[in-house]
Amino acid sequence: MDIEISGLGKTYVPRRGERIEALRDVTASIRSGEFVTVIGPSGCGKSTMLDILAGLTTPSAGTATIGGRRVGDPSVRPGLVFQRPVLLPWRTALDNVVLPAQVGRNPSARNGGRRKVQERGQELLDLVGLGAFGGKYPWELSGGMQQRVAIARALLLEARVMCMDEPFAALDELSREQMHLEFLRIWSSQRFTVLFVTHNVFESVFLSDRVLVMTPRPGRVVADVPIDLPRPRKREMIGSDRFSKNLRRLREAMRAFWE
Amino acid sequence: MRSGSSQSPALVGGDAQEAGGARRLREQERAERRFSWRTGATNLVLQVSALVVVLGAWEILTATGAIHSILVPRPSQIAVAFWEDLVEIFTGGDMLGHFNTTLIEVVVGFLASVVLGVGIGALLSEFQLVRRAIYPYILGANAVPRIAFAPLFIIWFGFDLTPKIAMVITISTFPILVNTMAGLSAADRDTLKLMRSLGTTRWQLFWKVRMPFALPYLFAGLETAIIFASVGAIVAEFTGGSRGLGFVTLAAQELFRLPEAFSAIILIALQAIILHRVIVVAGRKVIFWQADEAKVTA
Repeated sequence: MDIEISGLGKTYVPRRGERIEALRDVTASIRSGEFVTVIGPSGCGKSTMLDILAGLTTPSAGTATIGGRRVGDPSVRPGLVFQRPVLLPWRTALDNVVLPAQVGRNPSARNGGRRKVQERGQELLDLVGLGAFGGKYPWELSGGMQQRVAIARALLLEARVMCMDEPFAALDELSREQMHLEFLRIWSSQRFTVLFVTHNVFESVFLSDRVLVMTPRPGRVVADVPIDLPRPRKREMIGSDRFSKNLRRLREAMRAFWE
Repeated sequence: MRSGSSQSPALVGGDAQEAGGARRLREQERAERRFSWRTGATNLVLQVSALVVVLGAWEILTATGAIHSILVPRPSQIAVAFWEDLVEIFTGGDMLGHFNTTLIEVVVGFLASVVLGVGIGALLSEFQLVRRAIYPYILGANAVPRIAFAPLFIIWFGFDLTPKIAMVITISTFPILVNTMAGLSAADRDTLKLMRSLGTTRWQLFWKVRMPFALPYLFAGLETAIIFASVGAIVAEFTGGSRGLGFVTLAAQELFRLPEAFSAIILIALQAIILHRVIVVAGRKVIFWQADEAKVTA
């Protein structure tokens, strides 16, 4: 499913104090199956944008549609992945993955019954490489494994769009690199659309087809940098001339931050 | 693992490594527990020695007449009285009846407090309007020294179990209520965001997320409440009636049988300790994830 964002703005009006303009006139178009990262410093409205797409907050101006439907529509539910895994500690990995199918209106009728849901959950655990860990509790898994459970959960409801808010930022360097390859593998086998927020320049070059650069206060998209690296991405590409060239182009586009 | 092993064996190795890491962590914990067991044994020896020293000094001071043993009974006299009480309890004598009376007051009052505290706490945290209307009164009511109502409860409820249970309820409901409220707002922002994005209904959110998140708080409240319940029952027994360990203490005091009063106090303490222990153990079983929760957010 494609994402169309047009003239999107969001201003928070607190009961007291100054109003905060989090987003101003953001326009972006993301094709179905595309991997787009959004890069920018903290407070540039990246998370607000994801909240709008997830239907958690309404825009003050402009529109956002997913697959042609207005965001906030119950039929449009992008999968969400946060910086922390946000797993319920009293549920096993499998029970966390199937949680989305147990809430909402008429969950069991809508999702084809408990057994079907469990099977789908197990498939997704297999997909993220945790097939044997379904019965483990989150606190029995490493940080990277917990985040993979979160990714499986986001995929449960056949989400064709994934909104990810710095999903690997809390992992150590080595786990992060591994998660990059792992996630690209999952993405290439499922081909959902990804909107991936990060403040890591290397990460955005390595993962995405395109990088949107945002500046803060108010959050605006100031550059749209296509990444010219072949897929599938490989570890060896990091540090290659082509990688460096893309990195340089992106950093050039991010000049605004340092000025 | 299927798709992982077919496509990128290196990553599967990574899994095994991560799992190995988790296993090592658990082994380390086990080693720490062994170590802490040894510390525990040392502590026990130290604590028993301290008790022996204090009781020995007390015995000597009272036996030599430095402290008059009419005013403060000797530990050995208390031990004899306590032994007699224990024998009565285990042979079904009067003391068993007194012990059970207090036990029933505490347990029934406590259970009623759980229902009331959790119920009202949930209502207050779920409905803002209700909270705004009555929360100030609840805070005010908690500031009232409810023990002072004990004589009134005698007038209203008579000399039976009812006034004692009422007293227990009035003082042990509050910690449960407050902790329930605190716990029900303990779910973190990201979890709430996630649930909302999934279209979770209010009812589902309450039972599947907020209530489980509240359990650690609730059990902390229960631990306080069970001790309060014991205090409430004893105070209520002081003010009227002819049964229960509080009554036994009072009666012994009036007859100047201090060893018997001390023995009853020890029984009260033991009862409270056992009940408290039951709550702690039940809490650990129910909130099985708590000890390790830090790791989830890591």
